[in-house]
Amino acid sequence: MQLLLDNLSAVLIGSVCILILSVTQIRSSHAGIEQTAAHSVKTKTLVFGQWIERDILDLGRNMGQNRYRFNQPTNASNGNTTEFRFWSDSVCVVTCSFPGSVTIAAGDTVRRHVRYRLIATRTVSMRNTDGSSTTRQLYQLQREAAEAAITDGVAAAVPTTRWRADRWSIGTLSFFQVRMLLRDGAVTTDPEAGDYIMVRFAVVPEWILQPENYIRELYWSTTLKVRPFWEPPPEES
Amino acid sequence: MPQTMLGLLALVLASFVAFNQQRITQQSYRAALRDEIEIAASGTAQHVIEMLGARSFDEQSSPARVFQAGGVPTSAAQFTAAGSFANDRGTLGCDLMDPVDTPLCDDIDDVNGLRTVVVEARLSDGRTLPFTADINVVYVSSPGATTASTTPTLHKRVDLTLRSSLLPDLPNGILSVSRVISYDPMKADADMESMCGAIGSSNSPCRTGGSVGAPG
Repeated sequence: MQLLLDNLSAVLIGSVCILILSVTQIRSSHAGIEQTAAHSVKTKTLVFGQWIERDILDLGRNMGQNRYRFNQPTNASNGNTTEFRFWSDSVCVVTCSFPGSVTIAAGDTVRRHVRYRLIATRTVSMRNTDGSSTTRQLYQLQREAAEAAITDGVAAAVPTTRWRADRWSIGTLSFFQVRMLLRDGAVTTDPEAGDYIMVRFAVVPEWILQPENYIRELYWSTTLKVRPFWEPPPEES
Repeated sequence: MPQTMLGLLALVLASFVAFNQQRITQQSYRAALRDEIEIAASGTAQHVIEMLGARSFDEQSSPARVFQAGGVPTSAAQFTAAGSFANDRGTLGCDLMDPVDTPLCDDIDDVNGLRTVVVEARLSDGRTLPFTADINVVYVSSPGATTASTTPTLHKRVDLTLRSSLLPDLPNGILSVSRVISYDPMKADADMESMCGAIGSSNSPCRTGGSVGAPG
């Protein structure tokens, strides 16, 4: 006790130094985790965006003259697209076998259907810019595929049991929307009239920190021209 | 007294470490925010460029002019002179996000010279992130050419620069995109048929001349 009283000023200053360094260490740890979370969400967003672009640009491939094929996106009341379905054709150079007992002979055409489904998962609590707390619903985007044989130019119907999870998925979406646009940017609900597909989504970090992450949502969008809808010029003989 | 001096020295060093750590943390936060804004800007820029590409290549290849002329332009000499860009874009200007709202801005060179035009990244729940866009359009001799051409050619290069008020320390903009759009007579013909019908149609809305509304 006497030792403390004899060196009281040093003890106080030392305690303050220890406190400052401790707080700094805690904040550094928090910042390190947040940097990792920010890098993760940015990587996920960019990679997922690349997958989306690849799918959109490939839809309607080999569909013949001036054809591109997709259904009108199904939207929920909150604006999210819950289902989007599109397809393209492919010729089997050898006999093709697909899950669901779908077998295509060499030289025949198979229609490859792809479906995006938005599935609600968990909720997270985040803080708005005005300081109030809000609960955000997170979604998982599931990519599913199915194949159907084409006979006499008509593709067979795809039973619901044939859809299977295919390739990639992302599970921390807070917003996902697909829209069809005309050439002048107006939104259309007619798949035959749409010239562009616009996809927008937002990704939330995997780890919701307290206090909240500096990046709460990362927004990504793209507008892509789908295949042209006019007759190609005849080949010169 | 020596102990007090040592204590104060320790306090100064601890403060120095803490302040530097705080500065480094703030720099990383700014970098993360800049990433977020740049990603939103890239999507917005792509949308703007795609909407520009949907427009007619030139006023002479717009649907109404093609209908009235009885055919699409066949040479670059028929296109607008480089010094006459944007003379016919009307008083409403050009809406870069939704061209349908500014029907007179119906060809690519109508957006030449636009400055601080507001474009928005559309987020969820109706929120937006605004940017300002500057656009220049020039003729180029080929898709790979870097110098502008003073005479009309079959290729126009669009230079788009986006700026954000949230990043004022980037005077040159946060994103610059260039794209060369080449004249496509098939597209011009298809756009004309889509908006005006077949050439010579008596009931066509293009018979009276001028722009018929939606670009492209």
